[in-house]
Amino acid sequence: MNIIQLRKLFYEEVAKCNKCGFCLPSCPLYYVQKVESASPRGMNAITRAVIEGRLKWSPEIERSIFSCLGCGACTVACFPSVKTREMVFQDRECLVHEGLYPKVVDRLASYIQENHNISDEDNEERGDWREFLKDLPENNLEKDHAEVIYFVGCVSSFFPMAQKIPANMARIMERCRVDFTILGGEEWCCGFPLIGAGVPENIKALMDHNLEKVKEVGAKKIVFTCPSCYHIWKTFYEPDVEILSSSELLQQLLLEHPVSLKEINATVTYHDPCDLGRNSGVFEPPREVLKAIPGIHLVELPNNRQLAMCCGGGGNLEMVDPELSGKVAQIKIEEILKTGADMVVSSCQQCLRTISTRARRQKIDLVVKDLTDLVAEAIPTL
Amino acid sequence: MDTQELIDRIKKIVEPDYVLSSEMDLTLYSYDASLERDRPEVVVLPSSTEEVSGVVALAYREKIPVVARGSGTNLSGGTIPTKGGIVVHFSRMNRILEIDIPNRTVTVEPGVITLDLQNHLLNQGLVYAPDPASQKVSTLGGNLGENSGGPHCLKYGVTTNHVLGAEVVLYDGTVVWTGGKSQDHPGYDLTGLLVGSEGTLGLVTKIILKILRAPEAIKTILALYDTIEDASNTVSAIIAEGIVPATLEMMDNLIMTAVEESIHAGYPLDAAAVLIIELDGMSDGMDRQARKILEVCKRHHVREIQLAKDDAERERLWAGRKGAFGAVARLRPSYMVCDGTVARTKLPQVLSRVLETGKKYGVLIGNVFHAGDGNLHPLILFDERDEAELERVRKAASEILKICADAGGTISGEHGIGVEKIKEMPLIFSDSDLEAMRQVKRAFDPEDILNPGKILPGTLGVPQNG
Amino acid sequence: MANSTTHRLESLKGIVGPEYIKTDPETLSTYAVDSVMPWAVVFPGDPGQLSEVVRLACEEKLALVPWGSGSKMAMGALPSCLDLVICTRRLNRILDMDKANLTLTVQAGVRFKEIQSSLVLQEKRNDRERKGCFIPISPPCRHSATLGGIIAANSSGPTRLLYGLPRDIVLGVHYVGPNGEIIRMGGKTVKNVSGYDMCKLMIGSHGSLGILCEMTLRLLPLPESAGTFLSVFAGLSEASRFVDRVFETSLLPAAVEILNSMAFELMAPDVAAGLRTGRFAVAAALEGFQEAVDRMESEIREMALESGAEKDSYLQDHQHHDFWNHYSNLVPGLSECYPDLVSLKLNYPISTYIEVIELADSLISDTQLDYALLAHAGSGIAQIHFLVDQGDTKATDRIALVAERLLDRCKRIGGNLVIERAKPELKQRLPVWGLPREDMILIRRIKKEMDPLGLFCPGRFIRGI
Ligand SMILES: Cc1cc2nc3c(=O)[nH]c(=O)nc-3n(C[C@H](O)[C@H](O)[C@H](O)COP(=O)(O)OP(=O)(O)OC[C@H]3O[C@@H](n4cnc5c(N)ncnc54)[C@H](O)[C@@H]3O)c2cc1C
Ligand code: SF4
Ligand code: SF4
Ligand code: SF4
Repeated sequence: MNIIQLRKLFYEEVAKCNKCGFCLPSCPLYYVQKVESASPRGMNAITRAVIEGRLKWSPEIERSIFSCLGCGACTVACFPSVKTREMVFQDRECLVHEGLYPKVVDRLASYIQENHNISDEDNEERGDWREFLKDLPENNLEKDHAEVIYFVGCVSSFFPMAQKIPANMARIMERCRVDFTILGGEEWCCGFPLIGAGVPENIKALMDHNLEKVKEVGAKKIVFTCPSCYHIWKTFYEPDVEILSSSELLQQLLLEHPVSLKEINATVTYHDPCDLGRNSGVFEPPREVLKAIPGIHLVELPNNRQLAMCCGGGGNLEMVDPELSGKVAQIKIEEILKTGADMVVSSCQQCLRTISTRARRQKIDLVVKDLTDLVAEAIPTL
Repeated sequence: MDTQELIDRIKKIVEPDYVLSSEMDLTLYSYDASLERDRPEVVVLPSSTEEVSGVVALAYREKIPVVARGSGTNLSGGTIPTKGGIVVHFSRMNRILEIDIPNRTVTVEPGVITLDLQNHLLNQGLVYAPDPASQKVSTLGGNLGENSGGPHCLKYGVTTNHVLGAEVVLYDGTVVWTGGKSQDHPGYDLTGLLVGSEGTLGLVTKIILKILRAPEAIKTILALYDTIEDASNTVSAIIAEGIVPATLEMMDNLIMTAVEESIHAGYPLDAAAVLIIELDGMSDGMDRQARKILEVCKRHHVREIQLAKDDAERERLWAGRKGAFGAVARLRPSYMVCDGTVARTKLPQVLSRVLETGKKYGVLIGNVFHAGDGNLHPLILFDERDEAELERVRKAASEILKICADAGGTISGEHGIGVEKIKEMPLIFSDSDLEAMRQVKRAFDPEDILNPGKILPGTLGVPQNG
Repeated sequence: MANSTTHRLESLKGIVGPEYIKTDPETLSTYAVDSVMPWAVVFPGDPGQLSEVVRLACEEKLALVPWGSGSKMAMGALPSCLDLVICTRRLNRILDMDKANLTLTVQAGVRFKEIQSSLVLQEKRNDRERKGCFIPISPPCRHSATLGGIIAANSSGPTRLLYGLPRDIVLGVHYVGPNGEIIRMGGKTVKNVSGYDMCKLMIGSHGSLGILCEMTLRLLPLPESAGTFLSVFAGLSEASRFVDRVFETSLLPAAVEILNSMAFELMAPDVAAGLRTGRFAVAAALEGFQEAVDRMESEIREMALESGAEKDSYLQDHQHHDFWNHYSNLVPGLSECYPDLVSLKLNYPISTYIEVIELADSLISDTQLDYALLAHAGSGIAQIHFLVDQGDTKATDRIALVAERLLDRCKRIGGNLVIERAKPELKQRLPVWGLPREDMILIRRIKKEMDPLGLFCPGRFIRGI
């Protein structure tokens, strides 16, 4: 991507920004940093100035553009709906082209290139979370053919803190007799991190591989516990099978299999993950699932659904600038604490990690759970 | 002093992370919500009055301009550093310092977002009344700087009617308080002068605002019309009935269409104009007032009336109005707002001349405005990248202001003069009038350090900045 | 010397006409400012004449004092010099009474009471009735006061609680500044941010920056219904309990006044008959839509009784108006009987009113002087009038002592104390405008810029500027 291409793609879009500033208060970065360069209006102005030749790509711009969480809150607040998030991703491509990008991008790209996942581990270890399962079926949850594919995603596969999520998801599906399989070492990174990092060139190979696998398994549905994978499959992959987030599948299951759930007496609040909620439009299913659990009292965050504030884990920021990411998480935590809820539930492994890591580091007593964790707790025989 | 030295010196006063001077940062502080552009030499984000005072004192010694900035949403170029210098961005000074219910005041730092304060107060059943449509992002310092108004100012008055006192950093860094919690201080009403002075008289670092008890009842009415004239006549007729509603807002078809596309507020697309009428206060007698208003509307051929049934519906009716400026970007990428104000009864006549002007210059004009106050906001829609069109827009805008001035009105009701309307100042002020304002400016800022080049045309008659 | 005086006189005569300049001792003594007599009194007939008079005065370096009806001339320190009194009496034209837009433009010499009476009248036009309207301020001395004087002195009254202050209703002013130039600021629109808000500067400037010649005011529709609820309490603590309760509700009274027994007796002799000293009365003006006023009356009555009101009464129609007329005309009335009347105005944060009134009460009762105290409960303003018998020379000492103590307290809590009326002897002993605050540096700078020769009311305003 270069400036000419950027101009072609986004000049009209960025010209719609009339600098009204309405997006400023909804941007978590601006909230934390209070400077124009950490704001949607600022990022749009950068893009425009670069397109118009008034500004040259620079390390400061790199810092600004690579700090965007991709949360999309700005576009919701913006009356002309300027697509800042999409523009930022294109800016990143240009910056990479100019050699201006955080080091982690290279590392990330090479891991994905070599290991087909975002860690430096062999992709065969993708299924390690299965160790959490007591009675693992003989097939190790890997079937040649199944109705449903469970696409686990890199983070839950490789980061210990999140590995409970796939374990619980698998348990629940087993319990509800879902005919599902995982792809194990044949599940490759969905490619989202590459888009976020401004190096989408290699994403095609990943997509082709994954789509091929879906065909081989002959699945009718794919289910995701990772909202970003879900989002990318929905917007980029366009396979001719049904794409479901874990919350949507759980909602279906609870409807179809009226399992009598255990009572869990707790006041919970729900954090809408950006890529699931605002960016994919899945707001109600997770709430319906929560309401289906007896004893759960749901209180909403002041900023919920479309207006939900990112946890700080979006857009690779955690890799690029962990401290800043932590500061955003802090605001999220404060918002959560104000509701007086006993715990916060999300439906995203990344939110879980970002929020609980920050809480732990700051010694804040906060219970953070994924929706799957809570449902698994509520299913009697699990 | 060269720029680098200036930056180094400022970094001794304000935390270096908050002293910005990269090309990128200077570009990002070269704009506000107006169409003007100009770059500062350095941007500072102070965290306390002392820091502001230190920066201003330095600027004074070195004769460098200082431009205060809140959220940069003003529509007249008030925050554009047209003469370079230092931009002081107040975003970090955003604490609500005290809510004093017995004295009905709240003390804030200037960077507090208007709506944040209002939400905070509402939890305690209190209100800070001025509600610019930009309240979600504007700062109270900016509101003070522009003397901002909003829909509810029809009944409650504009910002100046709610500012009781301010801590001000003067041109040489001296810090003084004007006004305060007690009213009627003997002496000149300096607080009153500061409000609306667009950062040209002093940098405000704390503000004492008046708070009111939240009204006990609210009634919101949406009235749709087939002609703009009927709608404007309704406005005057309601007031003639002896009712001063909390708001009397109007939007024309063009704006309604844009709003409808962006947020689906439920406005019909074929109505010529809509009025948003809100009553608030004690609940007693409100139904009767509402009935009277409905009668007046009917007398003026209202086509349809909607009454908000609950808070959610009220929010919905308002959401469209509050987002109107932003929404027009769906039609054309840029807009220019003319903020002329005329006596209420002149509205029908002035509005039709505004539309003629649009035709004359071949530009698209939508109207969304505070009808009750006679405060028009013709929005001229265009694409600022098209220079020929921009030129026509500037001409049309200037002509619209002239229309308002000729009708006995004024050229700015709430958005300020900034740089954008300086050349129209002589439409309403004589040389001696302007000279009187220059005297005030000289008294506050003898060397033209604070936001130079704004509000007043001509030179100040003081030593120019080097 | 004599020559130039004659010359001046001739020039002034040339401007206003010989019959409108007076130099006879009798007139001059009527227009003496704090006993300082001017050299002449001029009565310009229009702004043009006013402008020329001022221009001449500036050329000749004559010290000027503008004069409306004289009702507030007692305010201010002694003039440091005085040549001309400029009386605005003849600037009495109503320029634009726009009931449809609820604005009024008048010349400075128009009397408040007269214009108010014509505004409130209902009109019939094209078969439709137009409701009456009013200037929403309630200044003292409303019978005689001119609008120019009211604005220049920033006069307000009880209803400021609901309707605000002159600063909230003045939309535009014309004034004659040094050099005699007519400066036009603001306009006819309710909203106006074109240029600095110079109207604010003129309001309450007491003639120290220029002479107001014209002003545009915002009007309000006349309230549909109005009444006054009076109640009497055994002491301040009961009265304040009641007042605080009223302010905790969402009721919107137009005024809530606390009066000591003397003030109450002066204003409502019928209700106050037989009242023992030490009592405090509360007068609440209720204005608005019928239903709202009815509810306020009944709820406020209930609160008064629960707070221990000993007596109550509800005034309507002419009784209501009479009461507030009395209120407004208290000072002119008193000053007729007590030419040595001393009036203090205290300002302080709203919430501290009990402490201030208590202190005043206890300090003054030691002096054995009769005094009327009236406090705008929701605004943090109190007025104290000492009914000094003529020739009581000792009173001055005692009052000075009280005023000093009160000033000290007000200042400490963020307020101030202004001596609004007193004999020159007392004015010389005390800071008439209270203690200056840190913004004095700006006040001086403004005065210096706008009146470089120091000819407008020299010596009279705060710190002798
Ligand atoms: C979509 C949209 C809708 C709007 N609607 C309205 C409306 O309904 N009513 C209305 O009145 N305005 C409206 N505005 C204009 C604008 O929002 C207001 O003028 C607002 O008060 C500006 O606030 P700000 O924080 O952005 O101030 P800025 O734009 O940053 O500054 C405004 C002025 O105040 C000065 N200033 C800022 N802080 C200080 C300080 N601490 N001390 C001294 N001076 C200071 C600046 O120098 C500048 O001259 C709207 C603008 C937009 C874009
Ligand atoms: S991105 Fe949208 S909301 Fe933000 S400044 Fe631009 S137009 Fe306004
Ligand atoms: S996507 Fe989120 S982080 Fe990025 S600019 Fe928009 S609001 Fe800010
Ligand atoms: S993981 Fe998702 S998408 Fe995430 S809220 Fe948290 S960051 Fe924003």
